[in-house]
Amino acid sequence: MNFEDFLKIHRYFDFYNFIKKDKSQTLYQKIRRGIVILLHQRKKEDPRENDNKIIEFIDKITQETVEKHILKWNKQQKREKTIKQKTNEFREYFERYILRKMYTRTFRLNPKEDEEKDKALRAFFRKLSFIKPKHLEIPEDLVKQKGAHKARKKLQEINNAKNPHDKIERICESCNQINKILDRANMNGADSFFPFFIYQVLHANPLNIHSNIEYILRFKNSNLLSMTQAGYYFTNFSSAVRFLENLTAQQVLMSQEEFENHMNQIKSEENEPKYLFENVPLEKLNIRDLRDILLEYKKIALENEELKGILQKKQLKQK
Amino acid sequence: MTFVTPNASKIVILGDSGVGKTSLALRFTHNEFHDLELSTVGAKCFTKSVHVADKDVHFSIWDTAGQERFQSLAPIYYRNSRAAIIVYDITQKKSFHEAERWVDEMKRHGDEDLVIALIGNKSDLNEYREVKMKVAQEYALKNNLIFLETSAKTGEHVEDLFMKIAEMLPSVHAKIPENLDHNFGIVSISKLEEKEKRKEKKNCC
Repeated sequence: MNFEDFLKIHRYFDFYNFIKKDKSQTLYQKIRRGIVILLHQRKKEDPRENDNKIIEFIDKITQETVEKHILKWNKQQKREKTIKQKTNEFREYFERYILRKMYTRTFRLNPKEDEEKDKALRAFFRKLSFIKPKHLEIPEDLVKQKGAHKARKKLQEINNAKNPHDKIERICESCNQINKILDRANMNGADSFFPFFIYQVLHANPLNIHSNIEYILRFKNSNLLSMTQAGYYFTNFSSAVRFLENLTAQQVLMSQEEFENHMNQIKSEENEPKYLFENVPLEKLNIRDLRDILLEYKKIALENEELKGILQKKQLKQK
Repeated sequence: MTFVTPNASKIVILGDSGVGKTSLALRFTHNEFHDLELSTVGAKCFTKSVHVADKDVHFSIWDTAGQERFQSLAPIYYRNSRAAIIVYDITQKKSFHEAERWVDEMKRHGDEDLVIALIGNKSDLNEYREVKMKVAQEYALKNNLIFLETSAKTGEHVEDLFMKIAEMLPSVHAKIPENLDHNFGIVSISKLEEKEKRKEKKNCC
């Protein structure tokens, strides 16, 4: 990367285009080689060690890229940003790009165990869906507000994002939505934010919550996570999940009996078919939703055909 | 060349719900006070830098939910924090007992060099006082805490509180971080809001 290119890059979009435009350049080759080696090593060694190596690799390549330009940069003293800020920006770009490329192989540490945990957690949240706003002492009408659905949608998108940066971005967007709703209702502070956020997380029930939280924690510096606004939102997210995981009857203002009743009730309904998006108004569905619905219908159609086949066999036997 | 390391001081605000935790943070960082009718803040991590005793301290103040049922989550919030502000309402005895419980917990589970401050808020409502200043002061002295009575409404002693905390903080953590947003490789919130505004504009046209 020469100095002119270095100056031109202000956003991730610029960076991505720069890399994409010319794949013969040394920087692209360097990244590619690094990724191939790291993924190859991942098969043999402890994945945790491999995680550290990935982070080291991102640090190293950022350093190498920026180091060349320090002298020139410092000469032009009128610049608003210091070289340190610029380095941090570039670290972000490299992190987003490289982790995106390695996403499918690095998402889970122990694929089998984590997947089971995710499924269990999702099923558990679904069981908890009897929880209404009143159980968390949230005003009923907050939940029906315009932005509430959008906030849940953003939470569901966490699983679609393919690097830690984007995942946290989704959480922030959702939290901003919630803050807006609270503003309109003249409520402020964490006292009113957190219960509402818990309600949203529960009813959004994003895919692979456990793995996503672990993934972010693995690749983001924990010290920095505890300093920034985004880190604050992420902490709220993970503690909301923790709260729901260990939910007791008292915490939702119910008697033990009532709580257990609810939990058992939904168990029996579990076998019944669940329709996606049944609570979503038609005009709010987007293309991605429609695709999901289509897939769901295909599944049902397949099941039907299977059933038909079984029936036919039975009839044949009877004859 | 190294990457910018975090050197902001994280402060966590604890206390029963409705004692004025958010108002206190808002008064300090923005010098504003909102009555119930006029609020404009959601949940936030408030930030501000101050200069005290030849050092710059960058505060990152974390608001927490005070309801009893969320108490078990507190450790997630006070992890890595340099100071804890424990707030009670001087017009509510119950909130003071709650504060005592928090002090115990922080003494037991917090870092060794954690600075703890006990704050009696709403000092402007002196006529409804239920917690005597002397009682709280003695308790604070016994437990080696910073103690002040503040009013987020009038701003009384709020500045003093944070200055005192800044003085007590070890100087290692006293440097302004450059460009904190990028620091973490995270979207700056203001950028996000801009994006949303632009989207909204598009929708109207």
